[in-house]
Amino acid sequence: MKVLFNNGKAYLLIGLVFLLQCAPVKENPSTNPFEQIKSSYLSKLRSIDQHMDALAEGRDYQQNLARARKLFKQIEPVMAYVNNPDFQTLNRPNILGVKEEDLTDIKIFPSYGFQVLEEEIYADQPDSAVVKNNAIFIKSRVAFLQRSTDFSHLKDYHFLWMIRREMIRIATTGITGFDSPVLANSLAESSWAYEEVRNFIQLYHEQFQDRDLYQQWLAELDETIQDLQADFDTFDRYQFIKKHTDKQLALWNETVTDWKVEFPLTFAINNDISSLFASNVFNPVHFADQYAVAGLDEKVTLGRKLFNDPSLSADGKMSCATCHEKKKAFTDGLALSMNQKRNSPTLTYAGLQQAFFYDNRAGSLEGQIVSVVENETEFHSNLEAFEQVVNQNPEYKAEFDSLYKDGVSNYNIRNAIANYIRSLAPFNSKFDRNMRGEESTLTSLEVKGFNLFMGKAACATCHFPPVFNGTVPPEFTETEMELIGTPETAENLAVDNDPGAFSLFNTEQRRFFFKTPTVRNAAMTAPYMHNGVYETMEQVMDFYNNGGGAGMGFDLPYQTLPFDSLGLEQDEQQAIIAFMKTLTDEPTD
Amino acid sequence: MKNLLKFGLLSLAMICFMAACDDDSGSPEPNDTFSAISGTAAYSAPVNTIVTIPVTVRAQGLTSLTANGTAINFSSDIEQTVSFDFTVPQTATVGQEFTVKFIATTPDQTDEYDVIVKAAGQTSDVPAFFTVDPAFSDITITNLLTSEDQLNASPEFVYGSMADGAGLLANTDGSFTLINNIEADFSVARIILDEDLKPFSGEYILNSVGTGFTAQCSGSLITVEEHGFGPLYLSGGEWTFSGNSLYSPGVFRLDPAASAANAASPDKITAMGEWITENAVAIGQNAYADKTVVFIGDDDSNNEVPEGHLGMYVGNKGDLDGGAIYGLKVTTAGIDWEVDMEEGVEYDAEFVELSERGLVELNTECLTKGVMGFSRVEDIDWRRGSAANEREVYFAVTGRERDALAGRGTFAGRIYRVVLDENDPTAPAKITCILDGDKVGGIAEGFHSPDNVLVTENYVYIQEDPNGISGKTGFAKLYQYDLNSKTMKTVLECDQTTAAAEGYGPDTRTWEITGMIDVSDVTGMDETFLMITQNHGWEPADGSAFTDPNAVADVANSRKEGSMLFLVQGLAR
Repeated sequence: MKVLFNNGKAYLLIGLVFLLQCAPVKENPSTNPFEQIKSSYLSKLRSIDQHMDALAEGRDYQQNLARARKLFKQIEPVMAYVNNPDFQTLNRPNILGVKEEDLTDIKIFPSYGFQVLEEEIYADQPDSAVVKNNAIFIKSRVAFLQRSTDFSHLKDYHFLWMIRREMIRIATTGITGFDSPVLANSLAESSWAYEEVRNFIQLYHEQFQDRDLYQQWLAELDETIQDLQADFDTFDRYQFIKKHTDKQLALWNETVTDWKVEFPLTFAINNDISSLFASNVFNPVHFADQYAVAGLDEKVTLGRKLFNDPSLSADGKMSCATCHEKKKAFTDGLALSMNQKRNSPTLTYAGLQQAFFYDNRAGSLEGQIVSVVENETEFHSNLEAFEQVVNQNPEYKAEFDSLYKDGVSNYNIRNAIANYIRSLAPFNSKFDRNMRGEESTLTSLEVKGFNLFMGKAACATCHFPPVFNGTVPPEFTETEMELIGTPETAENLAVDNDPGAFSLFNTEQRRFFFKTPTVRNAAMTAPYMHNGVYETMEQVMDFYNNGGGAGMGFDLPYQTLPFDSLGLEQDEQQAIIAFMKTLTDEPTD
Repeated sequence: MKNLLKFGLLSLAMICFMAACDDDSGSPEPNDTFSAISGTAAYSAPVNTIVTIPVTVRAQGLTSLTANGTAINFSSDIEQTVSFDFTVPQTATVGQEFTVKFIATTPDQTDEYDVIVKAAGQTSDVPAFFTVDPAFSDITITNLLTSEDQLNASPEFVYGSMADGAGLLANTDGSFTLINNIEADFSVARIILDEDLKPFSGEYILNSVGTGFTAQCSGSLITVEEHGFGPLYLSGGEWTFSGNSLYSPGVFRLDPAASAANAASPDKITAMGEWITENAVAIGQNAYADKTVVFIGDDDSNNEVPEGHLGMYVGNKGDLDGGAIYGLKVTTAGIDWEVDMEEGVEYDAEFVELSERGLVELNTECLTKGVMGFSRVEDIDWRRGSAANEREVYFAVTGRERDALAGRGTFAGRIYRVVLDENDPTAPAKITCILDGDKVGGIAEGFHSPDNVLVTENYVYIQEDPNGISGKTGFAKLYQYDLNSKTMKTVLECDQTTAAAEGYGPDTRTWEITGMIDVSDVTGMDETFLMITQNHGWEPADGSAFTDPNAVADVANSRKEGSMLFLVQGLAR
């Protein structure tokens, strides 16, 4: 223990020396706004140190956490962009990290960081060793960043990406309490991040040709910060997104034009969106690869034919549509699909995930289809036979020859089907149309339901908007799994014995983990859960309101859902259900 | 703490250590009345051990016999063999010499006899668990150090979990400094080896606080001899406590001479970008007159789309911060995926300049610009022997068996060679897959996840980290590929069956062979190599951890498993 303390001191000294050498900004103010942002960022990083030292020494836990956390949220826009892996690390939830590279390389680690600190410090009896280890961890990473952060490659378009990503982060996770599990201090924290964004815009004031646009930014950000001074449980998130997020996206797009910025790359979210709730929001390449989505639109029709063609299965009786019926939002209405262990998931919005199957065992739609083809209880075929069937059909063959440079191949068949599935994300539900301002038809109950879903009921901390699935915004690089403790029967007597993600590598810490599916089109996809145990949304709401499996008394130490009751009244549960029913897409041809 | 206590007790026991050297030993002349003291004049032993020094004394009328002033009992006044126990001081430095002065006195004469005791390193008593192929029966393998060993000069040092990349430097006093990544402890160790390469002492010069808990994977040295500047140690920062899909990527730089008190201040070379860095390796200074060129292995493990890239940094000679970075793109028509390249066929490639530096941004830029995606780029090395050779870069792609990677990325693993342009590292290059582990009937058919490469003038030494490919048998192997004859032999295989029987981990957790470096030039001992195993699953029997608290303070939550370091001699270069 002494050793670490000593190291800590040495560290501080080195940090200071580094500061003297590498912070010319002080004596010679840079005109480059990004350099000024860097200077402010490094200074706030440094300020976190003292609070971590205090926590490590056991002093004033709540006060030091609060101050450090405020600094952390102030630097969030920059850190989450420039040092994204570090931000994600420091902001991890207090759950075990499990990294299953392959059968011989499975790493299991505890979590360290701000959320763990928050939970520990607000526990009945904080464990000083846990607080200390977390403080040392945070300080070490923060100190490392002070030595290893460079902004020199960053250009105006990076700045615009950075602030847009923060706006989207706040809309999709910031206002939901995603990373403030105990204090639910998320609204104030979001306002601190916005204050920084406002400061940054001011640093860039000379960049604006359109002075009015600059003034509009400041006014909008002031109003946003003002509106975030609100109570967590009653905050109107629906209005916030419509009024502020969308307004900021509009200003951002105008700024792109005003600054004459061109973007060399596209990430998960396209560079030109005006709402998060629209079919043109996501970049398909981010969720597949550039070869897979090349000519996506032309391949959809072919994919749809294949999807509905039973000749692809060994006995000629089963097609994809057997278990994924369009009229049931591509499910089959059964608790367990015919001869299957699990409930048929909706394919709507399935393309907007990074992992497939309930246990995340496939990483692409094309890869997922291999398992279906080969599964004895599904197509019971193999890739060669699958390819042969298509090859023997002259109509298919001609279409593949015209659409794919190498004609029919089992990969291309899977790709065509996958592209059809990718097309099943229309964002044309009543909710989407209202969010886009195309109509104003949501009832107050439905709006209340969305606000509960996004706030007090904590649904959105796993079912992230705008897709309401487990793919984490705003990076959309990971699709989460959770342990919620789904019971075997609707009587809620015992946990269902399906081991979930445990089956991949026999990792005990993954037992009962299942992917978070979308709640879009949920009104069409009963029964619910991986085993179809619940027939109604009311049962599902009741399950969550009781704290999931652990809340109902099952022994599930790794459950990721809070154990305690959500405390939702009946009318609140009804409101959430009413909201979810607005997520049903309009039928298309 | 428990394990340290145990080691501490062992240390107190002071194992009696005798190491005779053959110089200056003479046998007494039988007829001399006063040939006085004779014996062996030089010994070497670890600190804190007792060296029993026997000497023969022949004297007529011996009245006094002392060693370093201490009287030695003698039974005869004419002739006998007596001994003196000398304890090498705990504070001795490596190679430090101590004189033990024997003085024999008779009424007529006095004789003095000096014995030199040198503070030396020590090797491990743990067997080297390898099955060596009969074709290499003349090589010798010495287990130098394992996680259960204690170095007398630094009794608290623990050789930690998943030892990986390493580099050896010669010290002015004849000893050597080994810089060694301890991957799973997020740390870098510095181990002093004596003139015979026996470990003398160890310490952590970079601990988990210093790395911000970033795993340090492979590493490489930049030295004045090979690169024209240095010494500097580059280390691949690859992963952290970050959950299921997150990384803490980048090239770490540290000073091999950093004091252990500063065990917390590396930096990341931001100019080299946030790759999921397995290793960063500067090629030799003869490759280009005025440039320093560093290759970076991107161990991205996407299971659907191979997106591990080969990165290249080019700066002015000696400049690691002001240069530009590039990604290797294969330009021959029809080569979209790495497996489109057939073993033994040379393809055209170019280096695409990259402007992003962040993890996601850099990866997206590579994908957008068509930089070739490999199924996990692991270790990298360059060929020795001439300027042209130094422009030949070899790298291991370890692969992974996944349905979705079929037709895209390697399953069993591959070794590639990139031949750079003679004048300009950024000019078009050539790439060849020289070994393809998926090729049925090919010479690399036995490959099971080649992970680490060492390239000498004539050979590529390939080390495996088996990750569970169906149909592959046995434990991790070391291969020797002959660059001239294009043939490959298996040198050795880990013998986990014997190891398991002797309590060194279960044979169900396959070890990795890693960190192999050629130290022949540094040591002046020909055909001399260091090699490491990560002994997955080998943990202390008492439930404690093979973890040095100076590396990771939270020992209870550490990786716990052990590693071993070997000296391998007799392999061709």
